[in-house]
Amino acid sequence: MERKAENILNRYLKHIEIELESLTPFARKEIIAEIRSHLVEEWQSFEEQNEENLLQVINNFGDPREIAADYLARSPEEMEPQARASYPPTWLVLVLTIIFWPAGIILAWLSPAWRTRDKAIATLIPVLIPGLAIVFILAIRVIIGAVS
Amino acid sequence: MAIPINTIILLLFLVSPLASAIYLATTRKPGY
Amino acid sequence: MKPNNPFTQIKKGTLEYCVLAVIARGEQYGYEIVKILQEQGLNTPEGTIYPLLARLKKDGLVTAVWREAESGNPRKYYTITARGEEALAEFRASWSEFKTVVDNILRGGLD
Repeated sequence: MERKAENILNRYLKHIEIELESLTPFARKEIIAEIRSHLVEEWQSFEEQNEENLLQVINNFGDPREIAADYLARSPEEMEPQARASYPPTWLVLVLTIIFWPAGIILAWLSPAWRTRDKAIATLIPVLIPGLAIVFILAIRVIIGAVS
Repeated sequence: MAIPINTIILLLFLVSPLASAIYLATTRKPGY
Repeated sequence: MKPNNPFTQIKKGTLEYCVLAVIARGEQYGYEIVKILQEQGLNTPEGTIYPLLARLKKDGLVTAVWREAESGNPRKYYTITARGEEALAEFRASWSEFKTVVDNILRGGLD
């Protein structure tokens, strides 16, 4: 790439990079690499590459601060790893439910991975199935007892 | 009854957590 | 187009799933995704697609690999994951339902 064009491109990317300071160097570099790739490819789609259409491509792409802000707006989710990590992994909930049901069910209630309705049903299953069975058997006993 | 009732009830107690887990496994919200 | 007109608002909410739907058709990289969306009439500032892709990846709905094009240009290709397929299917259902409801309301229950 021609030196002058390269400078223009680098300057734009630098503007974005500066705003991404709060990210890890690796994440930052990868973002810039991807954006650079896009800009280069778009520029190359012109029959003739000159300064003018490079600037056009850059303008089309967007305001560096807004773009960086967009990337960072996902970052509350960087802080969410605490929120996310603090919900029990689904596989653990399932395993515990089988091995030690009370623990599994409690974790399930704490997890956002199920609708409340489903949590309630899952809680009631081990209560209802044996419960209903007992009621049923008792009822039969009573009936048999009454008949004999 | 051929099978002792206590055994049936015991079996049900053992099986129902599994049923619970299967229910949970199938009703997971997508993305979790 | 005024920035706050209804179409813009709807676009913002559904753009993520439109991008996901494009990726679901087959592995795609950013530039191609932007072109496809534009072809379909969804004109959105190109710079907004990339943060969106980053978010899709972070949420586990897509995975990404870098590949080099013939021209030597490195490209980041995105593929949809099983989770992504689930989310997309859920969105399709919700969207269809939503469309029906809104249509009914707009028609003013004239049927």
